[in-house]
Amino acid sequence: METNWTAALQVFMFGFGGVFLCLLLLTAAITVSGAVVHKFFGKK
Amino acid sequence: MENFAHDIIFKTGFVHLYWGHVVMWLIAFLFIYLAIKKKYEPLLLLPIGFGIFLVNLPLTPLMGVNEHGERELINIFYTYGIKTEVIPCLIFMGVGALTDFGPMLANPKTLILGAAAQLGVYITFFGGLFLGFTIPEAASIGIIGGADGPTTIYLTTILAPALLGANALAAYSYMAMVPIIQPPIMRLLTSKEERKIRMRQLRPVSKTEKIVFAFTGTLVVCLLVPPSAPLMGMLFMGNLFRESGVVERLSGAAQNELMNIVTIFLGVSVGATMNAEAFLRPQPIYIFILGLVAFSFSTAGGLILAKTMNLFLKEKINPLIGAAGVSAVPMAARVAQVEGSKADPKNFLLMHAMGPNLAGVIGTATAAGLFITMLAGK
Repeated sequence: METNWTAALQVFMFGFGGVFLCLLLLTAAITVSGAVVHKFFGKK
Repeated sequence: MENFAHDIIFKTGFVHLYWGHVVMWLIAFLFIYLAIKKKYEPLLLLPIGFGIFLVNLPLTPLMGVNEHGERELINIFYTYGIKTEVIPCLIFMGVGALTDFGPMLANPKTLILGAAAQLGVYITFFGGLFLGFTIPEAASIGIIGGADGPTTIYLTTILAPALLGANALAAYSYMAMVPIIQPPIMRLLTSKEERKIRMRQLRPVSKTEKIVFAFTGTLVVCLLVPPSAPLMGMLFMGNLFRESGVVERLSGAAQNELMNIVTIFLGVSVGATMNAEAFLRPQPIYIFILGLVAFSFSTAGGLILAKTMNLFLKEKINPLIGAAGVSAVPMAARVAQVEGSKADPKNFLLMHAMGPNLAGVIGTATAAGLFITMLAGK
């Protein structure tokens, strides 16, 4: 079967890019939620 | 009477044996040897090895369907545990209950290393395509590079169920060999000076932060990549059991009894998918080669991004922790610690390496979810 290289390239770009985006968002969410928790709950 | 004698003789397994069965027994014995003698992932390689051995005994009613159309013993485990994707998700709940996300929360920038360590997944995806696999098959092989057994099984069951045995075995075999595969790549891509870099002690993370993370993690990952929710939802629920401190029985059950039970079913079912007819073809050999490529590039991806981050960071990070971005927890973090302490015996990297290591678990599940989003049903 002939490989659809355009589709494969898209899977790579959206896949790898998506993983970075997800973990960047998670980094931001952890940083913000960490700051909020510190402000309202201290070190508990 | 003559018929009975004929049946007894021709319905013994001996008459139906062929060389392929014997080759599979040898493969089974190799995995059992590695488990018992070398202690490589014994919890998995032992039941997998015995599963391979059992399913390659001819005429045994284990993995087929009987004359009444009912599934046989191991086929029941496989159908209801693996095919339905229940077992990988339950294992994730146990992993969540066992995991302290504190090191990752204390230094969130190390999460990015977990993303870079998915490089091998995508390099191998292309490798699979060059070797003639279809796009969904190549994706299921690529995910081996994430070094996460349950995720590999979860994705392969959805995208390429015919490759389940080989993919799972490659993932678990290479996970067991992380201490052998990673160090040469780590030494090749880092200088001794870099390996000596000491990192500041991590700040303590409060219980509230850890509880809140169970929700922020679930929200971010499951909203962005909904197909990863069965894995990530279970991971964070298990973690909430642990961090809440009020359901020790549930947390204990998820970590111990449940995890142990599903591990038995997982191992024997995966092993039992490897009958000689399905396994003795070029494809599994390609998968094992691609799996090694995947692991190597994933290790390199984490190391290279850590070195790149050091170009911009005031407070340098030890690039060895980048290699821990493959999600073999906690083995990859331990390898970073060992290699770091070889360069500087007083350098303690273990807790720093746990951050990328846990990020790798999330990154691999995310990569799997994205593959499902793009490829399931195509």
